[in-house]
Amino acid sequence: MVELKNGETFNGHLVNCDNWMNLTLREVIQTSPEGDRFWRLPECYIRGNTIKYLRVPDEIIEMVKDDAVRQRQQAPVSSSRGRKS
Amino acid sequence: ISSALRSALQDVRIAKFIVVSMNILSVSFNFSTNSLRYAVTVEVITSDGRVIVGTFKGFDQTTNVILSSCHERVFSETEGVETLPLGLYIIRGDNIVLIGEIDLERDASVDLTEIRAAPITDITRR
Repeated sequence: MVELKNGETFNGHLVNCDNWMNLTLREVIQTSPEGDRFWRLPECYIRGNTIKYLRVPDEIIEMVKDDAVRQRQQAPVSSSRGRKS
Repeated sequence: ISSALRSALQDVRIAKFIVVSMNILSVSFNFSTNSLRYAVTVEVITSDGRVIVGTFKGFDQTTNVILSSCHERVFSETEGVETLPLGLYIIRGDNIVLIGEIDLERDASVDLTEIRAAPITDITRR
């Protein structure tokens, strides 16, 4: 769930993201800041600098830690972030 | 879409999300030499005046912060503190005002139901 600086919330599945936290979401429910109006959007793009915070499933933290440890083992020294295959 | 394909697609989405989180967490792993390996409970005040308490998991150069098992404390002048569980949060650095380490013993000795306090207002820009 994404909340924007203007208070709107977007609930959906994350399709893509980039280094600036721009997100594309699928099957999105958009809620107005007052919580009274709702829209259903099949797809939406959110610019990263408009985000206030992201709420994320708790399981993610485990997956990320495993991935981070594995990456450090595979590429011990690399200043650049490297290419994602 | 068959359920197998759907779960594969979800894995892709989660994997892509990991890229962002990893950028945040990998930087924090680089920063942590000896500390930050144990759980630190932290209180974050955001620019809209919210007080969020959680386990500090990671950060990056723009002070985006990851908090796990976090909850929001809502202060009120009439009733005691209300605690809203939030789960795993990524708070964008633009919106962070203050991050403070919480001494769990001192925090536990405080009875939240007895506290009456005016809530913090959000940032007003003049």
